[in-house]
Amino acid sequence: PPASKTKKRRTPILSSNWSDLNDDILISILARLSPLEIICASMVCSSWNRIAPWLLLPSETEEARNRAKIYKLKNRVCKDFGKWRCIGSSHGWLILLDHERSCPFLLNPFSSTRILLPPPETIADIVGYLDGEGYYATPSSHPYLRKKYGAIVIYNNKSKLAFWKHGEVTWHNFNGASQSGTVEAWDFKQHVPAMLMRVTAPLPGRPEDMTTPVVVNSYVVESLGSILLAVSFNHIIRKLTKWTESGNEAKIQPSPVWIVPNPW
Amino acid sequence: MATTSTVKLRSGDNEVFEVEKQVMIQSGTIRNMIEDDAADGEIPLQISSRNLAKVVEWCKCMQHRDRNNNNDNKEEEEEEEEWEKKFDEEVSEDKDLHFGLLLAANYLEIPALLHRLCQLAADIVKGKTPEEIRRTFNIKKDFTPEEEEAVMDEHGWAFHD
Repeated sequence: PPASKTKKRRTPILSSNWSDLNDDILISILARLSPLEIICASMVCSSWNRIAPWLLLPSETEEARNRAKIYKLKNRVCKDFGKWRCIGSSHGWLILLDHERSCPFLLNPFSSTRILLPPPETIADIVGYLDGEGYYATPSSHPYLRKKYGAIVIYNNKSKLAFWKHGEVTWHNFNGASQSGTVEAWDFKQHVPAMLMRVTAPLPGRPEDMTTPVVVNSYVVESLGSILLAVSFNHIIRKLTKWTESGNEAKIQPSPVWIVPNPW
Repeated sequence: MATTSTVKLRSGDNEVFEVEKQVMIQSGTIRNMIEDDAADGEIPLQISSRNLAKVVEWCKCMQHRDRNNNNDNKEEEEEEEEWEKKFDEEVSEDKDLHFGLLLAANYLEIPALLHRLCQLAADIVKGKTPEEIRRTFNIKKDFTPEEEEAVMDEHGWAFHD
């Protein structure tokens, strides 16, 4: 509907400043809008932009762990993805797997537009099923704004990468598999992705005695202009037990986060 | 306990409104003052007389409506509905009044009024583009070119299907 026009405006004593509304009031207004309307509102000015966050969270219940929901302000669920599993996101698009984990697709969560991706079987050396862990994907650029886009997935227990480009029907392996403890930079603007650099960061700790650090997750993060590799890991301590008992016993300690200063 | 049955509210531009306590207890802020026996003198408020008058009017209407809830007086009911409709229209068309009342309702802690005003604001935002929202509320686009690009990059996708 068109904006109702004020026919005659009183000269205001104190001119109102809607961009200066306090956060509580603004949240209360935005919470009454649909997702798309909230996005419009968040593009109005910087203070309205600051106040409109989105959260994509997994379901809390154990039996529905594979489900993902989008939450908006004040924890209101605005979209429930049912049995789809969200394995990555970029530029607002989500990458989801259907309930049989066989068919990855891109989804615009608000317009519900879907873009099908090739089935994982087209990855030449994939072993077994794709499951949520070890399978992440990111559209490398904006599907509609930039026309050229693609996706990257990690498979085979986080040891391999494959990419897909818009218009193709299969995934392609990367030449040069990523190895544990290395950070690689790849350029996707070329026809075939090219590796720009590879840095091997030392892993925290040394296997001493019977303690082995097992990396659980690693992230490249930027802090104050430095690029850091943050690694969270568990120590698995193997205790030798008597033959008569049940064998090895694994004990997992709380996982500290280890930050390796960037070597470049 | 306080002896009088009214409170005196002084607006930011020094106009005094004498209102029944029964009416003003809809405001959490005023109710606390009454309960603390701190409402016997004038209560100074940083709210303009125009906005304060509107708030008082709204509180009176709501209190009147709540009191009459049990009677089945159709005529009065219609009158109240008519009043609320006019209130909504007046507020929606006057962005300065709307803004002032939002702040006043928030400061005075009148949840029902605050909800009404937020709903009206949401109704105005609905279906508008960012530029239309800016024009309607007289908001300046204060993004730097870099920020704007980042915002478009972040949100532009939502408009494609």
